[in-house]
Amino acid sequence: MLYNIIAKLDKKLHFPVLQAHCDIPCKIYDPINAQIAALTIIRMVDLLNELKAKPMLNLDEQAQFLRLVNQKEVHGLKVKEEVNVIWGDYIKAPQLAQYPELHELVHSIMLASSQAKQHISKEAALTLLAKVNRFAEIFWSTKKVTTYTAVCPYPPAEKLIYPNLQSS
Amino acid sequence: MFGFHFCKVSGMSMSPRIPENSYVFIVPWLKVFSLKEGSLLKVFHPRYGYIVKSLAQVDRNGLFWLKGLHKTSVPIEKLGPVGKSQIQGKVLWVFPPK
Repeated sequence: MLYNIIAKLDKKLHFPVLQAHCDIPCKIYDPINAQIAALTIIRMVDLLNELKAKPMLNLDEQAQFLRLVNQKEVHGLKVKEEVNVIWGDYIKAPQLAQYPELHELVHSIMLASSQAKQHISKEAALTLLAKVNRFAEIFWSTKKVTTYTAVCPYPPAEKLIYPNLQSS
Repeated sequence: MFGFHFCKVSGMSMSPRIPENSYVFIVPWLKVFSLKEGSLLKVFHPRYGYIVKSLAQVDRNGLFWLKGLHKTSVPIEKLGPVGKSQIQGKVLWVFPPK
């Protein structure tokens, strides 16, 4: 009753709004951020390998080298953070019962991301993407959304798992 | 003006104590008294604007550390400490929606 009275007053007086912030928008989970971060690592490795092929780096190229390495680091951490949030907040007993491999898979993503950060290795970056793609596949499956594989329409043009949202 | 005011709460980081869309009764001058851990505060945060949070701790420098009550809340370390001047009042009553 009191609530209704205050709500009516609010309609007339427009009380200020206080935010009770969440870390992420509630119940909005999507592995695409992790997938794009994994793709970014691959792209950074490709660009770093282009620099590697040069006998000498001028000042601009040295600056670019630093920038590429930095972005590789940032996106390696982003993969971890994005996967961790879904794993920690969304994955619960029903999803684990359905996919017992999830804990192992998430842990292997953490390790693979570290590997991709530590080395300028396309192989390590592709391994990470494969694991993140598997995570995305499982995520969409728990939401009863079918998925398909397609090559992303931009560099590094690698295969990505996409949700088939029109079918659900 | 009256020494108190109402605010509406958006977001669920303070649930279950303050469910989303609750109204809270704020008394600004109550902040002059010593605030205990667990007090619900209206705070002007430099990054997040006007927020409602629970007082987690007052550190030895007199800074106030805030926390949400829901697992999805922005963590304490991300919110950072605030000074007393940023505290806009204390929540005296909560009116949750039915």
